[in-house]
Amino acid sequence: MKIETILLIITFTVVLRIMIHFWGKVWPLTVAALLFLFWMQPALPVRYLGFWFSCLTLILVVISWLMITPKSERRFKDNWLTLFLVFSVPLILSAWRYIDINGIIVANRPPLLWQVAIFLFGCAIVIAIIWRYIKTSATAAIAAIVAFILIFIILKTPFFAELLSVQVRQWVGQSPQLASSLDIRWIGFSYLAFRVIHTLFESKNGKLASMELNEFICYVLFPPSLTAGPIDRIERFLPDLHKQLRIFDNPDQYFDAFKRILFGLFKKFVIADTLGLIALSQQVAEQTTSTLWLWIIVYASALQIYFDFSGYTDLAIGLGKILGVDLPENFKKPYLKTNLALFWNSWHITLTQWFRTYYFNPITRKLRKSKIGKHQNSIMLVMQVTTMLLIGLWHGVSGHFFAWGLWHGLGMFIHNRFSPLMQKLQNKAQNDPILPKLWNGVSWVITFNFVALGWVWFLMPNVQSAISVFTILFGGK
Amino acid sequence: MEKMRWSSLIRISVKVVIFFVVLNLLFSIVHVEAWVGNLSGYNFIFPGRTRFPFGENPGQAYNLTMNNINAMFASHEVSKKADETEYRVFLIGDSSQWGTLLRPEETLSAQLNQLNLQTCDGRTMHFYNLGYPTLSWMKDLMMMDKAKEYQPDMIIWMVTLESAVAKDQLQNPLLEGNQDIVQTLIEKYGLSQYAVSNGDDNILTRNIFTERRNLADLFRLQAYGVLWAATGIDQYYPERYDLAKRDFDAGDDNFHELKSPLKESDLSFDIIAAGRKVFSNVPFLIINEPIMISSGENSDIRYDYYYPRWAYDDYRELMEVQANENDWNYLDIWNLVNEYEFTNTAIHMTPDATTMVAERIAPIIQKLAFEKMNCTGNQSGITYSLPEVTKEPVSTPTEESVITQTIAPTLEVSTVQPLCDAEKWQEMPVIPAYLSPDLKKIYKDGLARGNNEHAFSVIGDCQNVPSVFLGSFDDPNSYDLGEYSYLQDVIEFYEGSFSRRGAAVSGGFNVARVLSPLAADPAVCNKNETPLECELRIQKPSVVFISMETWWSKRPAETYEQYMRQIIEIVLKNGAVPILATKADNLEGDNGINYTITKLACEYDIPLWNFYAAAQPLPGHGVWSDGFHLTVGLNYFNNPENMKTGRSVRNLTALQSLYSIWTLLQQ
Repeated sequence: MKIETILLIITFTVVLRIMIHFWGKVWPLTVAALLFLFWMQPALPVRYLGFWFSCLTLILVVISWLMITPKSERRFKDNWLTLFLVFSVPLILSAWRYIDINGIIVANRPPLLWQVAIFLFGCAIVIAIIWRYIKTSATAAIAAIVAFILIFIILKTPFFAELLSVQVRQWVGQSPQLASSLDIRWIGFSYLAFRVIHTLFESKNGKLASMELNEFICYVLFPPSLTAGPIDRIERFLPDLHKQLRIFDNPDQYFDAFKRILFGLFKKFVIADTLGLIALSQQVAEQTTSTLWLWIIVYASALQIYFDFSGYTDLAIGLGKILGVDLPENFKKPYLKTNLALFWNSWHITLTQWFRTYYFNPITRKLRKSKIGKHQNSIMLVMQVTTMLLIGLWHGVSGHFFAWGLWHGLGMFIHNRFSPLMQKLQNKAQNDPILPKLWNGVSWVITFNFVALGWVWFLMPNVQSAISVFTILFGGK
Repeated sequence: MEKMRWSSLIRISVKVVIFFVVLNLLFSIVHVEAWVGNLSGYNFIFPGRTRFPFGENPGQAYNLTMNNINAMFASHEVSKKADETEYRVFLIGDSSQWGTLLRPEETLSAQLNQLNLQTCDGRTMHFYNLGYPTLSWMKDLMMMDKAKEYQPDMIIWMVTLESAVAKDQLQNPLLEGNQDIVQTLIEKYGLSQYAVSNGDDNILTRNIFTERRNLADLFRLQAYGVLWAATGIDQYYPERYDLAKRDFDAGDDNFHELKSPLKESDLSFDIIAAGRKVFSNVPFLIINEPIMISSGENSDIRYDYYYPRWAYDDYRELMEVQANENDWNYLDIWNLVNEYEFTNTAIHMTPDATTMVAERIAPIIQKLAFEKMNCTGNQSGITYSLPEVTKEPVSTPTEESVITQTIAPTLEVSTVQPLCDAEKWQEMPVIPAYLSPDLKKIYKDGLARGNNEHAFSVIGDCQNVPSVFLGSFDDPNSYDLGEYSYLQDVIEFYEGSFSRRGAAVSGGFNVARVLSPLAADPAVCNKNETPLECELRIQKPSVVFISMETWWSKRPAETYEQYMRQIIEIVLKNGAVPILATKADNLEGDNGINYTITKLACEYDIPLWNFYAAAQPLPGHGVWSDGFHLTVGLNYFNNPENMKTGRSVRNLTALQSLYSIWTLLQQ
């Protein structure tokens, strides 16, 4: 995002706070979330695709809400206005094309009004059927989770994404020869999926209190965290949503918010963007002739990724504070940690917690109780590697993300195996005036370098290129 | 923690606003960024740049265009502390000296440095590239005025007419971004005819926000220092670019809407005089730089895209008069370079042409230095006499030698296997005249597997790209076979292959790189495919020239041999006939590579095109004094001048070799 865009978002957030003063949080946030969903979709090469992605998001959100809301709690009289908004926003935005001021709310010219109307009519029938006939159940929740995962796989696998692009291009009369996986960019889907799957799991486990549709929309489409997280939990979010907020409430919240936003802007636009100029890429890797400078480039890239991502998180948290929502922290000085487990406890915290809660912990527990439960080491190896592989593949289904996940999975396993021994040694040396500090220093150097080198897998477009970088880094040619 | 009150928040906000306003006010009054520009990691953390920052594609060039003169100089190697053993020569000029499309080691200053010129007191001449890619003498004056701080021992100012037009002097982004400096120059040197538009310099027009781009550029320049240090790249080199225009519209003789004849007042000679004044105590040489002299359509009206003939001829006359009147050291080498040695504009030259310019001006530079030091004698072996200004384009060295005609106008092929002795590689015939039955079988198998009998490929380095090697044979206007007219048949048979730039030929390629997938062009090559495999797959050639001159490193010929073996085996495996080429240079010192090439040709029983032997009778053995680049000539074999040059003879003998192999394959 450009700094001008972010300044515009900050201004709108302050306006939203004023509206919240008069009308409470839920309705202004619902309308803002619906509009933001369309506004932040980028211009895509495939005609109308960005608009349709936003429409699909809305429909998926409504269906997901139905999947977590028992039939008895689906009250039309409490939700008709939200449904009206959900259906009218796309219609109004598609009517936008007739007044020829495109590019203000939607990046591309929206589809024809009748096309949108037919689509929404079809969706309305599906929603009505689900509303009327489908009960909440573990099976329905699991089916919805699987559907989200399948969409995710299609979006993140270049092969499937390109196939989809070919298909969509044929539908809209564009050349399928120009199809590319890059055509399929559904901004916001990743984080939306994490939040929705979280609610489906909690609903399946009977831990979720029912909520109205507008509250659910505020949670899953909360504008500050829609595109880059953090992944909040609904039971933490809803109390914040219902806290009353006046314009002149909590001056320290304003102070904290703007301080956080300023930090975020500085991290992103001064530090990260400057480091971005020298970040590792295939081109840089191929042209670099010096091992020493390549190490420096790798370190710069590691810092760039951190400042970029944590800068965005600061912005999201700061904007959330203006709206009276305390989003969870996502980073806690990860590069200062002295082992890999601590690093992953402080890097993209909400994502790792999500995977821990919904994959690592339940499956590990099941495996331990199963016949193979006595093979603790094997279970730990499999679970740590697969967890990190899933995190890697979440960035894209390709070899280099797989390698990055494997790198960290094996790293976590090795750390896990050696940590009791290391702890013993550390305890023995604790009375020494120098050794503990030296220990920490060495541990930090190893951890930071392990993580920094891991970014080589992440940043290179394929495994072969990453191996070439490692070859130069370690003195080969 | 104590809760914050609104009053505290308002107080903090007011303080922030006051601080911000004061900071901007200070910024508006004091030109902080000019001072900040002097702070640089270059020459300390990163090596100094060999030319000024300039780049329109920062992401690919690792360089950027900026306006901060202090930062530009601070990033340049010129700001490194002067070494007592060096004689500092500053080259001022435009993009031609800066080196558009030239690698750092190919620029004029770099090539002059490679000549390792000495002064009579034993100092080595160090040439600093202070050229900047915009055309204005006022811009040059600004750079010279700043360059004063860096203690030059000599100034060389490369000029051209496009930089001289008085009314356009200030229409230059660098000058527009430094109006205060330009104003000072105008006052200092009495150049009042050039009016600087005095923009209002106040807090609204000049504050941290309006200057954010310039401030950010300072950070960017430092950041790119890392990539400059890591890669040595400071310019984006496009794979393809449009060549300078050579055909012009009839009647187009416009030059900046000036009227013929050019008057003294049309041009900014006063700026040259000011420049001379800046450096009145050091030798100062003004050189009218080479321009393209086109032979295309309507070239009787225009020399090139920049210059109609009338304007440029007038300019040269005016320059000469001014030089005589003001006693300037002036050298006019406008027509030194052949039109085919220009790249994307009429002043940007190829590396070879730049070498030629360096060779041409080196003795004059040295002479000026000697004169200043009151030395006599030829201590470096270079002739000091000022050469006559040439009246016709030349592109060959002026060495006097009688060329022995060694290239037979007709060829004979043999069915008897000749003796192949690598120990006597110098005596091997230039043109291969025999093809083994095994090789013919490989060729036939290759055709059966889909190879194209009308296609050949070139595996090679910068000396083998179509612009200098064989390419002209696909354009009937670009060659004349003269007495070698029998070669026309082979040109027609392989039509299209000559001008095609293959995937395995490129500047910087060597025997190792053509086998590296990293060097393959991702636009045409498959993943993990080497340039060689890629070329063989795309072109499906039946004949392959393998000509690898470049071997800059000190690695022994044995390593070269290992890679070359792989290349030969891959080509044979693909059913194509390889033609190995010896090279004219002996950079490795012991001719080890030519020996290796011949040894491999004998061992694999494959054709050898012994270009080395063909180059021996040529002046300078067909290479410039850098010992590598071939002397430049065109493929007009009816012109004896061309037949004295390495490049023409190389093209001719390559074509003869192809003809010979083709004839043998047809039998």
